[in-house]
Amino acid sequence: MNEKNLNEVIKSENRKRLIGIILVVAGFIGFMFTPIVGAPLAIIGFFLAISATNNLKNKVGNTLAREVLGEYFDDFTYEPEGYFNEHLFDDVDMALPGYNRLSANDFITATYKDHKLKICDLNLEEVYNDGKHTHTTTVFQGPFIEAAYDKDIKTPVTVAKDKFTLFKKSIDTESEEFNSRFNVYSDSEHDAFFILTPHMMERIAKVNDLAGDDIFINFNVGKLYFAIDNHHNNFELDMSQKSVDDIKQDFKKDMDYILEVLDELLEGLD
Amino acid sequence: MYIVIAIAVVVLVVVVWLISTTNKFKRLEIKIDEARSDIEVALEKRYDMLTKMLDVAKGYAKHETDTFAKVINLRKGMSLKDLAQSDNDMSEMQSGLLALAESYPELKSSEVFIELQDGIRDAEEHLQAARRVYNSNVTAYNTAIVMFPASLLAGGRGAKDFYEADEKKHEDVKMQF
Repeated sequence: MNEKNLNEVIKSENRKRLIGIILVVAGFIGFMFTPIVGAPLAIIGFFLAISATNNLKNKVGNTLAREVLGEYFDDFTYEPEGYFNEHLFDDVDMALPGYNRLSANDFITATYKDHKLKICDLNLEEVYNDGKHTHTTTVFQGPFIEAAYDKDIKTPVTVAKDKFTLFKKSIDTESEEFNSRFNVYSDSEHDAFFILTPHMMERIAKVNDLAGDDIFINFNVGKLYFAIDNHHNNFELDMSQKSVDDIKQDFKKDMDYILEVLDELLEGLD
Repeated sequence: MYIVIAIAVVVLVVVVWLISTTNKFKRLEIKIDEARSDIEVALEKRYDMLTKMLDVAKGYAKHETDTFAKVINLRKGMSLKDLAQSDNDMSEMQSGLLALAESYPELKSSEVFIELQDGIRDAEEHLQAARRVYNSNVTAYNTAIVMFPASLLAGGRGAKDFYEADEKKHEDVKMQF
């Protein structure tokens, strides 16, 4: 599909989405007066909006995501519904918030500056039922990244924002300011200091300021993992995007954000 | 009756404090010994790499290597000062070897030499980490034995010395956040 066709699809599906939303609202209002009319309206509107969203994602979003990724990486794969092995999120100790429901998508594999890279969007929720209602709280939403690196450590080192963890004692570095902002966990104090050089600690602080959100980092054996709780899902489409250029610009912002953080961390490892 | 219970509670608290404080000193002393051991291991690795590098360099420029090759003392149980001296001696020899390599392009581009350079860099990074761990634990120990009321139990424990970096390489590390 060329750009002109894509723009037409965007306009048409956005129009459908808008109509769907209007029908849902009208349906809810109508339901209060005439349920037999209001209910079908709301249902039709709901499915119309969902169908338009899915069409946009499948016909436009995935195509443009691949185009944008092609501008950043020579060789990559993109799976819109794919993600890491679910057990990875439990196995890699990143001091992520507790959750009991996980969803992820937009799985990318690529090589970036000689580092093998994997990225996905991660959404963690805590769901509980108090007997009457089910409550869902999103405890983490943002990108989760794995990057290969070649520092020689034997035990993982986790760096997380200052959160109280009952069973773990944080390792104190020689920087009081770093210690006040982050907790460092590792079974090996030596490996923690090996990875967290003064240069690296500056980078982590800078990355945290850049990200402006909670950042979770795990230096594992051969792999760096980091996750940013920026309450944002990458490569998503919304009605404010009126054209191919709007969408590509937003997708590029998503990638620039992730790669800026990654660049800082990789620089700290050099 | 209540007075007896109150006294028992106070005694219990004091005993618990005595045990935990004494154990804290011992724990810090063990951590310092472990950190010192890590320094020795890192120095040994660096020494091995340097010895091999010297052998490789002799194959290209025996006379020149003889001018800066020195006997480096490294053995278990050395004092901190002697370890630091060995560290400095190794740094000097390494500088000499690298300077020599600049004059001998075949040596500099030799695969074995490059591999040994990477190995030494790795050993130095581990040595740097071991030094920092050691000094960090010494700071914690020296602070613990002077803080009141723990200082009452410090008894004959004296402050431990830091592992000083090479004077030539000594520079302020300014961290900007």
